[in-house]
Amino acid sequence: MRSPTRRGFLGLGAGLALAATLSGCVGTGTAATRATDSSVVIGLSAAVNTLDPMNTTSVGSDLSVLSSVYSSLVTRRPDLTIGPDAATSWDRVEPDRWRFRLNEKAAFADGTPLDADVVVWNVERLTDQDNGLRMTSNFASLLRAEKVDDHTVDLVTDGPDADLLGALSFLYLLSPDWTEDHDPATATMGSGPYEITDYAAGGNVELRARDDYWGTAPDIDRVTYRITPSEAARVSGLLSGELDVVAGLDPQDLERLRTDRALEVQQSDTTRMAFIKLNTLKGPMKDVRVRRAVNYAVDKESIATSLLGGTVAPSPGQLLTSDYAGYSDDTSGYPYDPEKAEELLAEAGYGSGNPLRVELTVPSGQYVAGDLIAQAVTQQLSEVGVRARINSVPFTVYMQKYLVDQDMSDMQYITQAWPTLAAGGLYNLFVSDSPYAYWKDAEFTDAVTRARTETDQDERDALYADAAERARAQAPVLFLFPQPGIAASSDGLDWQARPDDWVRPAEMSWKGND
Amino acid sequence: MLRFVLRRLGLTLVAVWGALSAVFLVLHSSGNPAVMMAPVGASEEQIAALGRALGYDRPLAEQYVTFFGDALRGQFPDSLTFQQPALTVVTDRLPATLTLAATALVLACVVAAAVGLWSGAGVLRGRRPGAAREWPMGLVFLAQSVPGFFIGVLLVWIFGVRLQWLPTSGASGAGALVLPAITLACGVVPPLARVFRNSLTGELARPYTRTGLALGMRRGRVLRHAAHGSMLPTVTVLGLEAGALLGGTVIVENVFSWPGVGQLVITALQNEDYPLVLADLTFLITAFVVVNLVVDLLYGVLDPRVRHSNGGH
Repeated sequence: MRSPTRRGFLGLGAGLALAATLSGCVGTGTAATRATDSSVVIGLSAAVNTLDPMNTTSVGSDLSVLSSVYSSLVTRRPDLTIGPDAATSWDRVEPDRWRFRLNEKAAFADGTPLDADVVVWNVERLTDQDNGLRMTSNFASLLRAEKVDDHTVDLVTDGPDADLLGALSFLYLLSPDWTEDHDPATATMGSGPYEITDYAAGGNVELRARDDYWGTAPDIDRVTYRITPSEAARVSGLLSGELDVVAGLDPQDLERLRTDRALEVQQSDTTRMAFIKLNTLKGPMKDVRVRRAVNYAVDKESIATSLLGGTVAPSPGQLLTSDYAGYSDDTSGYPYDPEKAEELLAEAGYGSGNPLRVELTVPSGQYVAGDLIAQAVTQQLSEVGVRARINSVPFTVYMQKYLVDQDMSDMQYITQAWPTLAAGGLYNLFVSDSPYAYWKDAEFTDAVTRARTETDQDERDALYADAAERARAQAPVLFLFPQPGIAASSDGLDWQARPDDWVRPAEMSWKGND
Repeated sequence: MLRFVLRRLGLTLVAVWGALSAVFLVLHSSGNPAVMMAPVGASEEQIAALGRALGYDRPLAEQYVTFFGDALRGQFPDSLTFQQPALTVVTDRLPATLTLAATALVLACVVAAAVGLWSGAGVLRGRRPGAAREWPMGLVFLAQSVPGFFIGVLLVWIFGVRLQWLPTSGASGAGALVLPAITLACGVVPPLARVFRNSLTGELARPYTRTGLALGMRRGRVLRHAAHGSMLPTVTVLGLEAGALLGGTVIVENVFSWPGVGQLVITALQNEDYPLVLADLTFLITAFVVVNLVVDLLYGVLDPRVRHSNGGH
């Protein structure tokens, strides 16, 4: 009997069998096999958007990939100190002039030497406002580069700039000749340890170690960056052994990852600080007593424990995390003290008959646990009689109100970081004339402005300490905690996760494989 | 016939234009992408300058006219994030999505046909509906009541993490296609199988079936005639579901990190990359209406009555 029924089933069966055979052939590769051929697979949460290192400030994706392909004058090492890359040494010959001696072996993949002319051209490209490059705003004080000889170059700043070296670790050098007939947004030719062998816009990226690299050859030969935007995909990729390294994981997945013995989970503070900005320019938050009251009313410790898995500790009343140059060791945070909060609110004229009503805006889905943290804060505020209403909006709407319309609500959840880890950079978001600030404080602004150009290290630290103390006392924000950084990697991989988001294959090696 | 085709084509263009206009207006009223593009610490002037350079300071009506003028000539502005022509970025991703969608569609058709015929053959034998004939249909109902992303996560958990038979994400090799294609097909099989089974049962209850059997025709042959008769409603649903399947790629591609246009549109939305969102949706919307157009035209082939009623007067 020729029954179509049976034929249908046979067809289905054959299809499944075929699929199974195919999948058996491709094999997914495990950490063990990758150790022997010294390759790693890194899961990225965001696609690599551009290959032009001067036109992106995304450390976790674009720049992490490009830092393997290009070299910079100096680099920030895993311990966050500044070390040499294309420049072997440097010193400040005048307050506003730094001199860099270049490594004479440094060269691009096509053999072009990386010399003083290359640096001069790159600085010109960067500082030319007409190029509209996104990296330019990190180099506000950089005026020009001057060639001293083939392997020596001076960088001249507009007044002394203590943060220049940190910024220079972000300046990846292109080859002037090569860019004449190539678009650096879609192709690469660098002087770094790796070259890109495969890239499609938004797709996976493959790297191979260069045979002729002039510096120390990396241990890992082949790198695959897999674009995995969903957190669930990153976690299952790690658990199944398809991904060797993922940084920037959600604290919610901590337990699941920890119980897997093939994974090593690392947790640290990131350099991104979470807080609730208070609009000191209008409404109830103009009153410093109210700003202090909300700081006392929130139990930062319990929020960090319950929502962030206890991965971070409350900030000691500072806008910076401890990794910034200019972090002050002397401030102390606002303790959880609801009675004190109620007292301050009463002084400011609020009480049960006249409750304080505020709006708390949070960009939905934008920040790690942001929506939950906003809810917890609202709940705790209500216990001291503050009626906070959550306004959850898309990130674009939020940014439009915050920056363009200059119409921030009374309170707003935000996390901020300055990639070059300069206190001056992050503090600049709080000076009087910044559209980010919503706080006009002459004392704070003065300390920060002076610190930026102060050449004496101790003096500068003292000024930043003044600024930190002023910010703590005036409370332009409700201080919370640093955003937690959770990274997981194959147990066999030797790699130290960094607080500043860089994921660099040159810093990895397989254990027992050297 | 020509007038029928032209009329459908005209309606298709109107549908694309309407859907794109809606997307355009919603996107452009949600904010200025220059705010998102400007680096942290940018001054108001810098943001304003960036907005001007990108043309987002112009009146909405003007931007709208420019966009459609360009789109009609097949031109889209450069993607803001990738700094390449937006259409190129989309077409680069197209093969991945088409492979996934086609595999899922074929898989869905095979499964739906099998389930429908299995159930229908039982009716033909005059048996009471029993567990043996009905369990595939039960599975289909179950699949329909579970959201697609959940099935995806479940499959990843079982076959990717626990058994480690298949990759959990990415598009390297044929093995990577299996789980996303099954997940995507899961959304299409239930409506398809149900409509096919029901209309097949209806056909089998009609007099010609009895006549055929009475004349000694083999059951398989009767079933084939009945299946042909039930094609019209099935193809209608297939067309609608093929469109839904394209929409489903947005979710499935994200669950499995499948590098297609569905994943791209989410990334583009997150990055406020308006030109890319519009180029991507232009493709998805066009594909949706074209699939429906093809189904409309297929009616004419499958059922001459449609052709005559439209073309006759």
